[in-house]
Amino acid sequence: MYLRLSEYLRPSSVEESLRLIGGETTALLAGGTHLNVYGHEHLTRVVDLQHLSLGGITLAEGQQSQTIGTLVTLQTLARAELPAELAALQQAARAERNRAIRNRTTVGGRLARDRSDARIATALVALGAEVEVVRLEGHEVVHHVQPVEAFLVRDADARRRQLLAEVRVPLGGGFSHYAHFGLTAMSAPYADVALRVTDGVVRLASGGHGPGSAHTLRLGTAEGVVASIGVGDASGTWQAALREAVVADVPAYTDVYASGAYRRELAVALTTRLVEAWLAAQGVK
Amino acid sequence: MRKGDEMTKEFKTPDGWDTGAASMGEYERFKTVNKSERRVDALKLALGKGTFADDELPAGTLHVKVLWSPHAHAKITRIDVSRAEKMPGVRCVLHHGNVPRVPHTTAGQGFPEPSPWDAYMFDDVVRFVGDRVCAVGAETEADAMRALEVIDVEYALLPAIFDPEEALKPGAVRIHAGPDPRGIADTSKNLAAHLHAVVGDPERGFADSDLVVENEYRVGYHQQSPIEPHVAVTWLDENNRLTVKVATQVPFHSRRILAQVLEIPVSRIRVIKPRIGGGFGGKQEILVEDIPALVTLRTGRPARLYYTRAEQLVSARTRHPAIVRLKTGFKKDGTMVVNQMKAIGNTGAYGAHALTVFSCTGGKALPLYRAKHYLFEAHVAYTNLPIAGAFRGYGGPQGFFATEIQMDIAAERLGLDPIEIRRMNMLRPGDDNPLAVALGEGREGYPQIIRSCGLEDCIAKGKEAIGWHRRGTFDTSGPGAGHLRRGMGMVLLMHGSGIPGIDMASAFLKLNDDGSFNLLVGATDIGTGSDTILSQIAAEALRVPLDKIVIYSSDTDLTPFDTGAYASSTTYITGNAVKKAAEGTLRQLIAAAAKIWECEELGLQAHDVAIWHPDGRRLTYGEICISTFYNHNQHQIMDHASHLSYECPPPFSAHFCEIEVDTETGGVKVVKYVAAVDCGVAINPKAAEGQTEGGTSISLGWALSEEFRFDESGRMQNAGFDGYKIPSALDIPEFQSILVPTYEPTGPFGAKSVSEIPTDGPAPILSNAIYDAIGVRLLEIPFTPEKVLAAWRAKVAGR
Amino acid sequence: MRFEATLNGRPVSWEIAPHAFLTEVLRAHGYVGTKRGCETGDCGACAVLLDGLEVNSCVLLAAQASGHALTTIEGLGTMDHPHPAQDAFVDAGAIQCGFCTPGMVMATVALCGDNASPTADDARAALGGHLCRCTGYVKPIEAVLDAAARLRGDAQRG
Repeated sequence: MYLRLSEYLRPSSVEESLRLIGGETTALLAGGTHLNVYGHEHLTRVVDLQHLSLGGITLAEGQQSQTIGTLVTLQTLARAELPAELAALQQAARAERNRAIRNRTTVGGRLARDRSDARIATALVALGAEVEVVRLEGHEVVHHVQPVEAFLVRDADARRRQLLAEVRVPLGGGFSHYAHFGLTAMSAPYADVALRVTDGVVRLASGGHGPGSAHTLRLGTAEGVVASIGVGDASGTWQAALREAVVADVPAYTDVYASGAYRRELAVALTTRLVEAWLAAQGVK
Repeated sequence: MRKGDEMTKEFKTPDGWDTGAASMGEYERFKTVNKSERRVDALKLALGKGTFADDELPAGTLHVKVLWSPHAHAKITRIDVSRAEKMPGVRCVLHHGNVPRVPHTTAGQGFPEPSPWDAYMFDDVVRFVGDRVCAVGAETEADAMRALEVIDVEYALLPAIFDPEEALKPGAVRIHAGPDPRGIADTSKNLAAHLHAVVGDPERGFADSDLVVENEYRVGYHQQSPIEPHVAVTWLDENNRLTVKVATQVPFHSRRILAQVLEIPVSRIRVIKPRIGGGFGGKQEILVEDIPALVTLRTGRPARLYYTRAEQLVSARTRHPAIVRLKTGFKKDGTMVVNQMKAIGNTGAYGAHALTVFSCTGGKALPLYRAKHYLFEAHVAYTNLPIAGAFRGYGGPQGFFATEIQMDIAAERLGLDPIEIRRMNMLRPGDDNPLAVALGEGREGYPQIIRSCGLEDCIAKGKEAIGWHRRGTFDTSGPGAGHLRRGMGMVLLMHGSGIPGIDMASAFLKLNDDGSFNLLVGATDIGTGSDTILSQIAAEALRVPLDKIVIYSSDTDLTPFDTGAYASSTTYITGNAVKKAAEGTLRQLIAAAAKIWECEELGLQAHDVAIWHPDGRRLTYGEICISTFYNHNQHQIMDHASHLSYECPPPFSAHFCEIEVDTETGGVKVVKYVAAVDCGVAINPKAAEGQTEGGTSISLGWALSEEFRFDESGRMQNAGFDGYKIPSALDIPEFQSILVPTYEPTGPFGAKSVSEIPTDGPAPILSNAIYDAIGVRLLEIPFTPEKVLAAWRAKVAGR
Repeated sequence: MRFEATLNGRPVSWEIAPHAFLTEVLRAHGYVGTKRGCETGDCGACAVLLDGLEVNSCVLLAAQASGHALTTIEGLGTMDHPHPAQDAFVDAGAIQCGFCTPGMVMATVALCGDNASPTADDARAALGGHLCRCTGYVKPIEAVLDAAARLRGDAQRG
């Protein structure tokens, strides 16, 4: 509410943007819905990316991946015609239930925030997405592709100097789903989980297990359990193993809103539901 | 059982119609009353044209920001504002060293207020994280904020208390020490207020009982959260009088208390209530206006203080958290013998409303069931936590949380149906209220008689609407039972209409050239629709359509006195004042017509904006006005009336709900909610439904998701709508409100109150429904998913 | 810096500070139908349409909106010619204190703009970011559905 900006800038190219950012008192704005919360009084300059051509959802060459520009809003993403295998991403976009926020919040902006209830971050980790980031090295604009998990744990320097240009989600058929749960319908979730199974490869991610974006986790042990569920497995056996695995994968993070024990229970419940949804989609009980 | 019932008003209208003998037949006669007329202010609000306090600022308004205490309990040993005073844009800095030290209460109540005088504009002691330290008035909000940053304050920390039972123990640090405060029950024990009331012989009652049920119920912080935060704008008019435009429910109390705190005469102050964005009791308080008022007096400039949402949550007022220990004795056939309620209240750092809220905890909840013996006791303690005050329901929700769960527990233990055990004991028309005398708000009360009671119909209609017969049929075991469990619950409720012998209201009416009337009332419409309701009452009494009434309300210079919008008094008390003033005006119209026609008044009739002679001649009100303004018998046709009532007829209600519990996440989803309410005649049915729906949603939030999370130092950690979750449109259930018509003979056209009673229902009903769904009895709110899941797991594990 | 936009169909050009939020700039220039209820974009009382999309003006710098088209509640209807959504809210009894009403009406207009036949669930979802303490949302949801009917040209619903 009480910012003291002396500069508001709208660069018209990625290169120009990169030259303007990097200082400790400079912030990037994509859709820009986070500034009014306290804690930004130190900023002097804001760089607004709205003129950059980084919006757009396209299929990459050879249809191997879905490209989502960093300035695509959550609302656009929620309503786009996307292949069914990317359901988790659209469910995660819709999990931001505030329509006015969805209209402004961008994929890049939401991913760049240091929070673990981003929702689309969880989905993108499970989907095995990559991001293309750009930064200046000397006078050169350097592009770099990294898995979204690496982007989420980037250091403070990278946070200040990098710009996320686009997200790429690999395609290959299969199934994905997303689940979340919070105190009320409009709350950010206590925890969320996303599942992708493509070509027998299982990826599970869960968010909410710490204050920052680094706490969106892969559930490695749980992935192993799910991958070994055989067709026709009697129900009741994999649930117990899955529970044990999720409990092993997820730290019990306690904050103002929920205890770690509860959050972990929730992760178990949500993961189990996703696996049940996957089995049902295959016609298995 | 009938005791001393004095009717407090005449019921005959000027043209011979006896409304005292009125009853259900009146419903056939109403032209405006009991119609869902378009609210008189709705269109301008839909257009964004209603002027709220912050919508119009005088030129040169200074912006005021307050420095809040970071400590729960500390003495300010040094405060240096010299750097702040030199900051750009700063015009005024106020702190304990340079303002008058006037102990007062911030509670908007009648004089002498039944709340301790324990507050000061600024003190040299801070008593909770969020207490006032000092304030700055500057050219812009940003200037004021930056000045706050350079104010140098040194604190000597004092031990802090966060638990009301700890506060009451011997040796606890005294939160209000020193000679200044008045009206505190016992400062040595941090006891802000104490209540004790007995009817009969409770110990004998327990001895006579076949079953004694005893439980402890706990309710926590709840914030009114009006969408418009607190705001006040002050300025000096051209006569050097202080004008205060403030989001208030109590303009007259505000004027009086400002005069006290600022040490200027009442005649120098004018308080205007503009449009208000909700109050729910939080604005029944002299909360924000004193600071900009003093900035104005000191600088000569207009000033405005507008709370942020974070400030609204922490530094405004809340509901009183409480521990209610209820012990109830029954015969084995379900007859209630004795009901004993002992409450420990937490009033936070200052004692506003402490005594009167807890009077209502016993006074609203206990009388619903007729026991032979009652005992009510309350100890309301200070703590170093946010200040509790008035919040819709005003103690009733705390009491009903205990009593309505206890009835379900007793029903189960006795093998009785939960509705039948209630019907067996509930109040009926003709009954009296033995607790009413013992538990007046702050003084001895008055005997009460139930003249209208629609509880049976509320029960019958509510049962049908929810499909109560389906209760017990939900599959909770076996292969059909998934992780979702359904359950149903019900509660019965009563509340009050005004404060007997205390709440006074008045109204003034005058006739205009075209047969329209100006209606001036002190009563405050805070979104409740009272401007419309009171206009409807006037229109009905004057025999005119609604658009003939031009209402202006809540301006201490122009409108006559009203205590304000609280205690569910506006429809019942102010409504009667309006009706009396309208009838007086009608009498004058008849007299004027008789003078014009040179005939007898007897036989003249009033309807359709005219006076009618038996031979068919008529004089429109406009014609009468022109004649009396300009031609013959010249006088302004106008009247005024005041009303006070020693009766406090309760509205009654039955709530029913169906819920679904997710036993894997602990989530409680309210599937359907039915609220059947007897508010006498609903002056405006849609408005009465709206009050029922809104009041219920407020307490659904309290029961399920709203709580204050404090860290170890007493700082609230979820001060924002992102962290303090009030229900959204996606959280509320399918809702049905049912108005059950009765006729209250002492009410204006048969009306009682409607706005507070719905807040009493959700917390206990959800406990009852959760028990029905998953067999777990929760006696402490909020029923967050984590709590519900833990309780379910414990039950499954056999603990 | 200069703020230039089309506001309710007319061009405006104002001098603003770079850090001014859109809500305060609109209110400072007399568009007080847009309200300030929270600082976190949760209550929706500040909602306006930006290029036809519903946004919370309290979390947008005015500078971000420069060069765009804005619609506030003042641009929807007048006393003599209220917008059908405004009439729907009045007739449904969906307005009590009125503080959240402009935001809810903006949400309704935005919803009907891309969904001519919303269901009750669509209406709830559209109002999700509009907190109200007075009504419990019951009549506002009815108002949204009635507004959609009026905009479709249906006969007025009971």
